[in-house]
Amino acid sequence: MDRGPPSLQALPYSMQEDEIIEDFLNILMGISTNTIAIADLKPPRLEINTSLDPSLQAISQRVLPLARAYIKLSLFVSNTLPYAPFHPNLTPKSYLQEDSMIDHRNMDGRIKLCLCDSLHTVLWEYHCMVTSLETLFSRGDLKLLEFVGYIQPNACVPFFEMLQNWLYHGRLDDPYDEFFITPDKTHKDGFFIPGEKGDVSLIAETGKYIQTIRSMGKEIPGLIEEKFVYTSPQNTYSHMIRKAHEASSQGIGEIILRDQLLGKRLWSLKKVLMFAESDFFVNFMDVVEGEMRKDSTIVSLHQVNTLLNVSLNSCFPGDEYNQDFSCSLCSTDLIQEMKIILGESSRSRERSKQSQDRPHLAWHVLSITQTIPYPSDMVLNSLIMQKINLIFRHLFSLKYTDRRLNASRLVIQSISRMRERPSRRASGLTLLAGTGHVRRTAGQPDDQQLQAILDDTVRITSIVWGNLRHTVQGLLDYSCRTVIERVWKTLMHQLSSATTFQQIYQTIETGVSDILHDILLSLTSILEIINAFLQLADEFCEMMEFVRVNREHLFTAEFRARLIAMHGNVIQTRHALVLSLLEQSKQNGIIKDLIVNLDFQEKIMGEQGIHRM
Amino acid sequence: MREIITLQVGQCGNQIGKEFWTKMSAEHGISKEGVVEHPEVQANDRKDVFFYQADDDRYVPRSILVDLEGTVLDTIRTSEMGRFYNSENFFMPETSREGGGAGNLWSSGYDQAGESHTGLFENIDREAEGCDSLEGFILCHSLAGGTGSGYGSYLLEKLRERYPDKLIQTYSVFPAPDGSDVVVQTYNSILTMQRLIEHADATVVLDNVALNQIAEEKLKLTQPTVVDLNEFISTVMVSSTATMRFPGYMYNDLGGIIASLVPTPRCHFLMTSYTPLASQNAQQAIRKTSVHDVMRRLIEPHNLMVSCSRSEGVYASILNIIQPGSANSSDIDQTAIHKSLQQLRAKQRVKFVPWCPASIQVAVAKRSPFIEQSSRVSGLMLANHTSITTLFEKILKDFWTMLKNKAFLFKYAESNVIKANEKEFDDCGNAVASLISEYRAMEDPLYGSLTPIQ
Repeated sequence: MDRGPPSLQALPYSMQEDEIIEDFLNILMGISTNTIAIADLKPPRLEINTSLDPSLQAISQRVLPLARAYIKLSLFVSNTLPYAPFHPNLTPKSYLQEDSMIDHRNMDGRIKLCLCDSLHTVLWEYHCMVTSLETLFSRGDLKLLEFVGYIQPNACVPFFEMLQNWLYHGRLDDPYDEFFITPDKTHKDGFFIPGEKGDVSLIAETGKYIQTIRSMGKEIPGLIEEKFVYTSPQNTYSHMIRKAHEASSQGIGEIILRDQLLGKRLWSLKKVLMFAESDFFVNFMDVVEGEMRKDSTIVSLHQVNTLLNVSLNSCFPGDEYNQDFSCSLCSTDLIQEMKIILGESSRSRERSKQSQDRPHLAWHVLSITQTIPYPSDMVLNSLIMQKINLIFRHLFSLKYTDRRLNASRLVIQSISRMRERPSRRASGLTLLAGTGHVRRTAGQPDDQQLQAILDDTVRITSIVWGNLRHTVQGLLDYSCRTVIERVWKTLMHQLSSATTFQQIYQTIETGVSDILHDILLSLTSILEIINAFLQLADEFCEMMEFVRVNREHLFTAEFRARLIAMHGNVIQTRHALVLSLLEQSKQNGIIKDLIVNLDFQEKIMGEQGIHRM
Repeated sequence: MREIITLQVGQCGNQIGKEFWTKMSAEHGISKEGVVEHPEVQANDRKDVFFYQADDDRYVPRSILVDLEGTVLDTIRTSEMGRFYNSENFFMPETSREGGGAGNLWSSGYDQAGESHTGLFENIDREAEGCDSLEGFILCHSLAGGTGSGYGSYLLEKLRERYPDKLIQTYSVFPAPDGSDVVVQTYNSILTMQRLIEHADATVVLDNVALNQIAEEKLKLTQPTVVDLNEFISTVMVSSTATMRFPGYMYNDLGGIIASLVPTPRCHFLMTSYTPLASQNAQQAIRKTSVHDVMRRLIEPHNLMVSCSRSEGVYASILNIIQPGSANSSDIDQTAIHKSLQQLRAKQRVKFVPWCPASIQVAVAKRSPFIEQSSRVSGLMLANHTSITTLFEKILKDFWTMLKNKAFLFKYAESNVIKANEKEFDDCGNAVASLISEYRAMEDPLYGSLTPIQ
């Protein structure tokens, strides 16, 4: 088939001109044509069909510099800038879940949406390109300038219409997928995180806010529609975008605050996941005790969830958010997860991987979370919920240890009641100790000796218990009262003066990050010690659980030796904890409150010759 | 829900109990008929801990009233609170209806309890079965007379036997060592104390001498009545249960509170102070109440509701329950609490046992939305201090003197319990002596050392 160029000379002049204009537009898009061919791209080299009429060749020759410049810039944009379509409904969930490590590592700062940034760059480059073209034209032919001056405003009309529809009505009117915002049906209710604000992200957010407000059947009183016109000065666009963004952000902020969607939701999160009404956990742990003592691989999550619901309804009858809570079992315990989050060495990653394979008691990996429906998840998004989840898991591990210690106290109490009244002293203790292995100097120990052993055991177990519990309580008290309550008060105060969505989001995000930082992240260097301490508590509780059933063991030399070793370990670990806290408090002053709790009499600091705080 | 059953035994126990329930109903917005008065107010409280709902939705106290003579019970029954209690829970044994009372004799109360406890435990068991997860019992009684001490002692023994895993906390009113009209109160006290040492998990010691002193010196009441003193006691009871009824971050169950206060099982005798105290008959003094004012006043000896010298001895534990004056808790600033703790620490005003870490534990309890207090902040201190032994020593000294002289022993001679164990008095005296030694030993740094068994 003959694909050679048709003879232009055979056509009338006017048609030849039309053809050349058409081909010229194709060249601008990087497509070779019959009249002008792209011979090379780097640098762009264009060749004119020599069979053309000389006068037409001369005209074409004059537009070649423009075509070359245009192609050069297009190549620059497409080769150097990663282009990705912007999804207005793109949820940070998917984004963060894909790369949650980045999320965790950046907990101290605000998370930036890389997508927004790259698009911002694209827009900026586009702006540069247009400016370059204008500069080029300003030096060139007046006719060309006139031509482009006609083409550009008209080419912008559909873009401005789409922008206007999105910016003032939240409507995406883009039948040929030309607009830089495209719908993403897979994430219907998703949202994105306010970050550094370029015009692109402001445009995207504005439309989404408007969509949300309209979906709730509300209007935005402050939003006044303005017309985008090409001839306006450049900064007018930015100004219009920011105005629309502010009005829509205020509109949605007002809805969130006025309708108290957020206030109730925050209180619900605080009272359950941040232990503000922690009697709930006393009841919950009572009812799930049987199930949670099992290995995490065989525990019935369905049953645990049912019991969670029962406990919630019993403590908070009629609370509309009760059904949004659910339990899950994590693959690692909190300490291991913190190590992963903090990006420790690959060796510890390896260790943590190994520990993942080890079975855990369901207690150690239990997590409770609240499903946040749309539109509340606009603010309480997955990032914030992940942080709240870490706070919860930390508090829960302390509360669980405290509960176990309380159970051990009852064992100590019952051992103490074995004391016999002198007049009723029969052979009870002797019988009990008979099965033990007390080494006696001469014959059978008398009741008095046995009583002395028992008294010693009660005394020292009480002291070990006191050391453990005081520390656990200190950590709990610091986490709850010092950190959460203080931060929450500030958070509520700031929230009361917040008006825009951005302010609300930033207030909550900062508050939750502050809590997480003060109770966990700022203590990362001593997490190992806290962990060691909790393990000692665990070991002690197991010891007590054992002697609860095997009372005769109390009288053995072996038990006494274990008790002495445990006593030493607990004191040593506590010392290490306080000293590490003291070191840490140089960076974070609030830790001093915890030190005051743990070392009220400055015993440890005194022993170490450390000056008062 | 972790429920608590209250047992009020004897004249004093029932009078305190009545005041306690009056305050409790007011705090939860419940009328004298048990009806919620302001259903529109969201109280965020846990009524179920101390109340249950009857079929007609009325709130009924989980309380059992026991006495061996009918005067006080009849007064309560015929008062405006008569319908408030479950009428089945007024318990007076058949045998005592004619004779009346325990004659201020521990042994009489104890013996009568032995004869009649089956009927009482039917009530207790019924109440216990009505609970989802019974946490324990609170017993209000006095140690001077016969019923509170004798019946109370038997009840403690049986409760421990029947409910070994449940907590028992007592609010025990100790008699004034002198000036009382019950000549055998010393015997009654020591015999009861042995049961308290052995079977109770925590005993809040309230002392009439100290209460009188507070009424006269702090509230300027010229002749404080029993009603005034009972009001103090009920204020302490209500405040000490506030964190269970209006839960916060910590100390939301009885076990948690007791665990924070009792370092070794037998040393569980707690002293209290409350500020600012008020009485219906007293003029309200104008004063400033900040968190630090309250925290400082709580450790001042003259606010203590036990008459003992604290110039010697050390604290084993302190739990301060701080409450704002109104339901809006903005008056309690966390920073102020920590600042106050640091000041108290810097001035070394509080000395703790040397062998175990301890600090002033602080619980911030919410205030009921139905009660407005004139003060911005109020506080209750529950503390375990080794100088409580000074009170016990006084009583024990009198006890040994009386026992040596065999004074009034004939009154106890016919009692079954004394017949069963002729060394009952010696045993009980020794038990208290041993408790005193243990408290004293707690002051020694070597208390925490242990040698291996050879």
